Amino acid sequence: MNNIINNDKMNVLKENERIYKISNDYNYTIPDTLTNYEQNRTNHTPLVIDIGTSQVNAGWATDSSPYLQFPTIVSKFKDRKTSKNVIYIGNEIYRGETFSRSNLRSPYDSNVIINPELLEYMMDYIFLKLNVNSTIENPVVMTETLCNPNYSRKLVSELMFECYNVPSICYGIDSLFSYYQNNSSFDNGIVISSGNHSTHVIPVVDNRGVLNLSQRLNYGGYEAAEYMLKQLQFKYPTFPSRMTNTQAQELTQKYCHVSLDYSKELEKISKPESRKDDIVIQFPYTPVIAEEIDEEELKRREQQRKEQGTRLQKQAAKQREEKLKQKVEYLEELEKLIKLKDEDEEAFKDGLDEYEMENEDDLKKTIDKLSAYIIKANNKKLGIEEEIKEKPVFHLLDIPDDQLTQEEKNQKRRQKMLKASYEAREKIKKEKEEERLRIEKEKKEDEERRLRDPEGWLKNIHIQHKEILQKIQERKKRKNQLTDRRSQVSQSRMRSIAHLADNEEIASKRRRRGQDEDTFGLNDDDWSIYRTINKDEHSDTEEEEENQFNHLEELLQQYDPNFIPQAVIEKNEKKKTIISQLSYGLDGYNEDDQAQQYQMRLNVEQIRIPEVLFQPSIVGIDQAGIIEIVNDALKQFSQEQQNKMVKNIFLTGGNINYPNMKQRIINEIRGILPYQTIFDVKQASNPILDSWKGAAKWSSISNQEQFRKSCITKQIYDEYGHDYLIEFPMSNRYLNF
Amino acid sequence: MVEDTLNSSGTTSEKKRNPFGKKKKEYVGEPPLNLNDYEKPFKNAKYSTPKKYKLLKQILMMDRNKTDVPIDAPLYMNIEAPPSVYPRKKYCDITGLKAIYTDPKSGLRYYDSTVYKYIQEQTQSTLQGYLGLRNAAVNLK
Repeated sequence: MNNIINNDKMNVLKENERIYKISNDYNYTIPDTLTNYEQNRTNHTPLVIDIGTSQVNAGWATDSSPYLQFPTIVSKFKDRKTSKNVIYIGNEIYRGETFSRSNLRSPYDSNVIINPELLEYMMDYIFLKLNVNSTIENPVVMTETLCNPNYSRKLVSELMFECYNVPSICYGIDSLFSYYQNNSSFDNGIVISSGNHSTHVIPVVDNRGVLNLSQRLNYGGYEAAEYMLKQLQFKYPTFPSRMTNTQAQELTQKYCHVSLDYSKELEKISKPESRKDDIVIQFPYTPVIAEEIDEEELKRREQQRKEQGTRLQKQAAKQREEKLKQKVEYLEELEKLIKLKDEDEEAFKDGLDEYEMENEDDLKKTIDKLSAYIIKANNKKLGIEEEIKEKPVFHLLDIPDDQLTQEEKNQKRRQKMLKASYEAREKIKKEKEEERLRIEKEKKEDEERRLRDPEGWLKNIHIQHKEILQKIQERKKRKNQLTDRRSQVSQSRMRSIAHLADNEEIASKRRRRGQDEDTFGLNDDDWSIYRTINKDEHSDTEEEEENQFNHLEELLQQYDPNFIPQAVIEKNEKKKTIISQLSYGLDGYNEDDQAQQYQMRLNVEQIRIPEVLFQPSIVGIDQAGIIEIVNDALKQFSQEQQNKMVKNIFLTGGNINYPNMKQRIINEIRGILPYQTIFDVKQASNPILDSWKGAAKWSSISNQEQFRKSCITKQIYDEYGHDYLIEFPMSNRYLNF
Repeated sequence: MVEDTLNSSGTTSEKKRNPFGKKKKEYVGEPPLNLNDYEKPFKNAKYSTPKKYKLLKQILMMDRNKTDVPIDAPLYMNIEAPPSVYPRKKYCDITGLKAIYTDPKSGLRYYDSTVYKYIQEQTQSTLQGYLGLRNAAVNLK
């Protein structure tokens, strides 16, 4: 309970903005004290059990409010650690391990009880909590939904009589019990009850609910929360944390209100001034503090990087040096060996073997290679650039083949190849150089122009910028239009494709006459057809243009203080759109504001979700709204009867609890009634608990005689059938076909 | 089924179960009540609840198949409110504001040109999702 109060506290973070925290978990209450069953047993105190679709209220009829209140959920699973079967009910689930919340089940399907097994767990829990320690000797009062199917009642009766051996049961409609609790007499009126899965309108005439003229709208608190969740998921598709159903329910119950004039309020919400009325929901997040890097730190890091670089360079140089040294030594040894040749043939041959050389030529080659390497390395060490490479000689090329030996011919061929590659290299080099010079020249000229006539230059750049921007935008537009089949652009494209197909037809005709084969693809140009009919044609030019555009933007940013880059313009424009304003407020989305990324803004949602009761078409339910239903129901009665009924229009149920609901219904009812009709709208003093309280009132001692008559005993159950029901003012009607 | 009595909270056995000194999951207050841990003297031990159940749709089917049911009988399926006779008001599918335009391509209603631009940027599945919010999505199977 404390939690709720804390969460309600407003955190004023921004001016003119209401920011609320969302709770992380469900808040629950469990009574600690145990009731004394002995006394209730001997007194035969009626036990009132109101199993609603969202909440169970259960307790002794003599209490002022139900002793037990918990959500209608069961979690049954096998604990993997202890391999024990576990069943948690209601609030216990929220006290247990988090994973027990993953598979919540309810005995209900929509608003009808269908699952006796889960119902049994519910009952077990209720009796345990009520400290029932022997057989049950108390009459039981239970609630059921309007026009509960007999089959469902049969399930409940069978369980209660055969499993728990209760002496008797009395079934009444929840919303009529609530009506009974809030009215001294049970005569004429209209009940509007909005529960968790459905909303009912029940006329009450002459001490009886007129069930055959009642209507059900298939929308309740559960659907409202679900709708809220979906709405917000679409509003914030990239929201970083996951919103749960319970959280959506909390938002719906806490921050929604019924609008007194829906279209007027929508109009108001669309105005920027209304952003201060938004409710901002802050989801929990752990702020990530970006590491602050000041200039000194940057310098220090740069220094570090440089030091590391030089260290590596030094290391490499050292390694090179060592290698060189080794090679020099090796060369010296080889040279010694070659000198040995003239003096001692034998020793020379041994030496060759030792150095793994095959013959003298091999040795000479190695020596040449090594000395060349050493010279090169020494030059490099001394900083002598060896750039000036001689042009390789191709002396054989000019001599005709017949003057050459076979070996020379081979050499000539090699030289030919070398020459070609050499020339190609030179050519590329030259071109590159020229290009570089050209760009440099252009830059220089541009700079000169700028210095000569800054204004004119800037103007020129602006014009270029505008042209390219236009081109880019046009292309975007064209692309967009291509996605629409009916646009002119797509149609002309289709025409050109059709034209191509037409040409093909001629070709195929020719083929049929056997004059031609299909030669498509033999010619490389054939494939360009695909390029002409392709949707995005100019991917290359596109990139080029974008590069140029970025370059121009850079220039303009540099030299024109008044220039606003296109990206900023687009961002500002986006900020002005209604979607951005509704989702992120007037300041728009801010990537750096972490708190904002975990925020949801409720504006239209505040009134949209409750509005569904009046206009179910908003969520696509093809049913009339509650006011139209009330109007239809009223029309079934005489004028006199109607006048009596409208004096007591009664609102109940958990989903009716929105602020302004009563006022809105008063306004709307006034609209459908004849001028100056006297009417009254009442709201249940406690829309959630009043059906339990009404049932307790029905079974109280002052009403004992009537209550006893409305109870189904075990004997009646056996005689009249398992789905049998005794009718009384608040009950359903028993239909047996 | 009967494993413990009502009073035992099982604290000692929990300690045994946890020999490595790892932190036991924290309960708020007492550990949750596990139905299987308790004796249920109020119950008929011989009775076993059927585990199979019918969905609401099947239950209603059973009623519907009966022949001699009067049309105005207050049955679950008979009290469903009929469609509205008034024209539906149109609201923007993206923002929820009033909508006077409809995108002919997706069928989405929208508030103004900026919303239209937004619609054009979205993928087909997102658009279908928006339509699904008012139960108008097209499901191609």
